[in-house]
Amino acid sequence: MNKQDVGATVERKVGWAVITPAAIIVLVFFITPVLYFLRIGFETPSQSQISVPGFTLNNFGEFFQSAFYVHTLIRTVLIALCSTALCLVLALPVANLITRSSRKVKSLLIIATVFPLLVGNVVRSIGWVALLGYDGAVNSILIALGVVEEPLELLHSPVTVGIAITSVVLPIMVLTLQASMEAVSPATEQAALSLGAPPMRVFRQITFPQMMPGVVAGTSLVFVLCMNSYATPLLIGGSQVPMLAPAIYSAITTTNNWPFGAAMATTLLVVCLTVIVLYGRLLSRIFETWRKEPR
Amino acid sequence: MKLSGWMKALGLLVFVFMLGPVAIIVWISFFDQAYLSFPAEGYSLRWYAGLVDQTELFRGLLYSAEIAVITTIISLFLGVSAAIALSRSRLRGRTLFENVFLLPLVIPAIITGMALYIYLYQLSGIVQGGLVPSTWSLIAAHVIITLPWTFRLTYAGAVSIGTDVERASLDLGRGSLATLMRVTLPLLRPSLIGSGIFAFIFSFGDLEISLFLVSPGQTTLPVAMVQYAEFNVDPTLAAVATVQIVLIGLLLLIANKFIRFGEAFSGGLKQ
Repeated sequence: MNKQDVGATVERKVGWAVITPAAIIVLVFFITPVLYFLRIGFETPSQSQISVPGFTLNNFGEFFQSAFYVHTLIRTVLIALCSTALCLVLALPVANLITRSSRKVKSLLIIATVFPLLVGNVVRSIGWVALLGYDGAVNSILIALGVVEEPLELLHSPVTVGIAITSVVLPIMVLTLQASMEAVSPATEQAALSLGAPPMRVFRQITFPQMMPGVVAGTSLVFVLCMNSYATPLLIGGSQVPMLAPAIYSAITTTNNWPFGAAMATTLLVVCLTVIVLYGRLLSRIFETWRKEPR
Repeated sequence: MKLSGWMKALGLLVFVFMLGPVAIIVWISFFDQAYLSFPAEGYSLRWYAGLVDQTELFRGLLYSAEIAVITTIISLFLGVSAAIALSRSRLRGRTLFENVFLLPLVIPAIITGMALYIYLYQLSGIVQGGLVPSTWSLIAAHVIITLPWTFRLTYAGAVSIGTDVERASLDLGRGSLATLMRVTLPLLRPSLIGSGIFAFIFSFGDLEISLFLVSPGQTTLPVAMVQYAEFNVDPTLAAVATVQIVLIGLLLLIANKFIRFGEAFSGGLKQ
């Protein structure tokens, strides 16, 4: 979309007047609070007040010296990476299915993808508890089939937390991949097919490389969502599988140590940002060599 | 390119993976027994009839609806004004504004919620009044997380309809306010309805930003559901969750007539 083509029909003065309320609200209720909160992470905790003004890195030192929190951070990153990879693998066939469907079926499938997304992570996490819980559907089926005699402990494991998180963020990946697959020109695929390339090879060498921007956007976004997930690790993992977002919440509510919580939040943001930037660089480099060397 | 059979089957299986947890909640809500067990010992509607007695959950449902309606009105007003300002007048720093209005999507909502709480808590000391927890602080937080959606959907709509009709109206002597009210906004109706529905849904379903801002005894539905689910998942919880599922399903079907979902969500945060 070319924004320059849209002529100005509202005077600049009026434009400024109209945009001001939204800008003020965002500044007062979002930007200032977030900056203030992150700043607290560099101050000293105090019993009588929230923090003692000053500058210290002690909260970060405390975080990285605690085996519990370092393990929580590593666990969070690993679960987020695995869930993102699984998301990509699962979303590709769905995006493919949606893209190749007729108009009517396509809009139906998109609604079926958006629906769980809008229902929200709380309800879907509760659904996973109902599926995997001690008295849940999976255990009941396994017992009825005679596979196991006693219900399995399916909740409270990093694997099920990862699976549930994958299912929760999957719609975002599907929609992003579908949009980029929609943009791939069918002519290039048909050319490759008519020249005798098998379908899998067409996908690997023609379709997928053209989808790269969507893949990068989708995986980055999904990774961040996994890193930040709160309801799913809380309900599925409980205290046995602590992840960062619930750990920040409980660090603040149980000890009232706001500087430490703020330092954790800063760490979470920095880790997400670093991974995204490094990953973007890495992928664009791989992608460059991929395009240069015909295989 | 034709799809092979197993690719199709795999795609459909993934839909089961995404929708299964939602479907099982709806199913459980009709179970006759009070606890979670399979298979059903019978079916009944008694958990729906009993919802009124579930004070925490039922009040959460009403409170969430109230918050979501107020949030939607404010967020629509702010988002639409910002979208019209950025798409219709030549403001300096347009890209900066665009990014600022989308920023709340990038910062994890749980961090935004904590930040807003501690900031308002500290301000309370200065202005000598309890700013948090309060309903208005919760609404402010919900406006922040819904603003990217009302802004973005209306902005995309405003750019796509172009300005020809508006310029015709201005050239024929209509004032700019009359043009805005009688030409631009009516043309934007689909985006307005769509983004209003989105704002409602995201406000209604939000958990993370509300965690710190709700008062004990007056919580939103998602917070109440998580607190309940931490101890027990049973047909009562499933029934209230199903109310949410049905409400959102209906809104989704309405929104589908006005906006294209593929465009609303794809490409990550920005087109």
